[in-house]
Amino acid sequence: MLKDMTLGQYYPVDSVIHRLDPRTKLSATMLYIISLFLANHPLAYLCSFLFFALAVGLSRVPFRYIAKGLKPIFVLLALSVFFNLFLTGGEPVLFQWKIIRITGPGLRQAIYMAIRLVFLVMGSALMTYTTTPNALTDGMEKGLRFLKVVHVPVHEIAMMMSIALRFIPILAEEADKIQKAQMARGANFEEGGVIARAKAMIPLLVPLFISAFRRATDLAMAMEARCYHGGEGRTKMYPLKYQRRDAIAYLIVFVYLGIVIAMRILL
Amino acid sequence: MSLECRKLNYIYGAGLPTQVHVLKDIDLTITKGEFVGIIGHTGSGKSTLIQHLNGLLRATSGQVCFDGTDIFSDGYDRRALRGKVGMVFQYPEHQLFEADVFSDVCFGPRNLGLSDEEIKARARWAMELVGLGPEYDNRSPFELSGGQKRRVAIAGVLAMRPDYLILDEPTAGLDPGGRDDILDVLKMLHEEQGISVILVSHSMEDVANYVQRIVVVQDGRIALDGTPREVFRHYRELEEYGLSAPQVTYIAHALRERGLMVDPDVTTVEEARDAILQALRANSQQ
Repeated sequence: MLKDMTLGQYYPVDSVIHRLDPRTKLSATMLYIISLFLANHPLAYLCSFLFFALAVGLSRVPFRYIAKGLKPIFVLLALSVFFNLFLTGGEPVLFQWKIIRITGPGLRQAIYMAIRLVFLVMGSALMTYTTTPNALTDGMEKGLRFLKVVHVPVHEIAMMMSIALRFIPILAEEADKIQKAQMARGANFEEGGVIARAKAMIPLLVPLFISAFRRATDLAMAMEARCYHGGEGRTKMYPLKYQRRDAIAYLIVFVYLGIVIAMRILL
Repeated sequence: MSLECRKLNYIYGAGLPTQVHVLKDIDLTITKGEFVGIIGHTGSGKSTLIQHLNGLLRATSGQVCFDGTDIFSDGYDRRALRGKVGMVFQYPEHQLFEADVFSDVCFGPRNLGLSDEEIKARARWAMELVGLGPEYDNRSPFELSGGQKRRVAIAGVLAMRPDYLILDEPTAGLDPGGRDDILDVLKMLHEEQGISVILVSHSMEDVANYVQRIVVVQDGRIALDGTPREVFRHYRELEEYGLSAPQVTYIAHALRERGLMVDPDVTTVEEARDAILQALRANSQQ
């Protein structure tokens, strides 16, 4: 059903990773992705694996949920492995049959690419599993505040994002209700060709749009009534503050990043 | 002729850490021709329960039977069932979408695959039942008042000519006049058209005044089931469930505590008037 649709995919358990500041998780994820592309040695990838395993272990999110994130990128993964495997030149040639040729560097490149993509996706999945969408926007607002200097309306963008995120479940529930109401009037959303199905959406979409507009005007009115006037001088109920655990997390991330860089230079 | 739940269980989000056991072993039989009120606190599971009655939700275990046939058995035509068991959701005016009132009322019967004359006849019939004349045909449903919109929406369900009509809080958000209009329409549908009405409500007065039988849902189970008099006799339990009895029931109990021997089981204003007069007469004869 529509109601079960989730954006972001927060997995509600309590863990050290869940409690980390969203800014910590955002930057750690960014740094982790960078590290994946810096690494070019099996030992470095072993480090990446250990780092990831530690984070997953601490997060208490079941691994199968994180692995589920790989499903949509399967085609992309297969393609990049394919191209790297067959189109990379160099020596030695391991296998040759007519124009199909697999070389040593090609094989290595394909394996590395696969590892990078898999860990990149699983790493970002872990972040979305452990951070609520609202915490993420909060983190982005505070983390990207420096962009205000170049007149990027950081607060407004963050506010728009959190309102949009806030309304997704509401509108999804509304859509679910309208869908059920029209099904109760005999509407058929499941059968028929493309045109029949598109037509069947009208009784769902018209009321949904009307309701979205109604909610938008109500919300604007309610915000005005509470004297909302933009981000200037606005305080937060739960201001983001770095804790000791964030310092420890940053320390671990930088040690890991240092090891990966050192391996790139030395090995 | 009946609508029956047997050992109905529904678990929302089964398998997730957030799963909720919404309905627990519900056994409920509604016979054709009854006027039933379903009451329960917010989150008690009453809305989930009624959505099983026309197959919008699928039970995790247990059965829903319409005239003895399990509606979730393979090949059962649930769309046809929804024509037999009509459902009016909360704020049904939010589901209107057509450019004019008449077309919107035609939507339900059209989905049943009827002939054009039959569709129009049914729509006309349904609109007349809820008190909307032909002058409303070409008006946009969005320019009507709240009460009128709601009547259009109810007509849209009635036009399918259901044997059972389920309404979720049909009076929510209406002024007292609009509320009585809707409830009187329901009463007339029950008495003159022989439609079984299942009314979900928060208002004990509405329920006491109109229904013959009350089902109290509490924490996913049926806590009480009986006539209004029987159910409201348990007014202390109802309060534990976050519900109450009609105000006149409390007045009757208060009068008894002060020594006037009024029948404490009264549930409507008329009954209370008669009971108090009777008690006063008995007093003056002594």
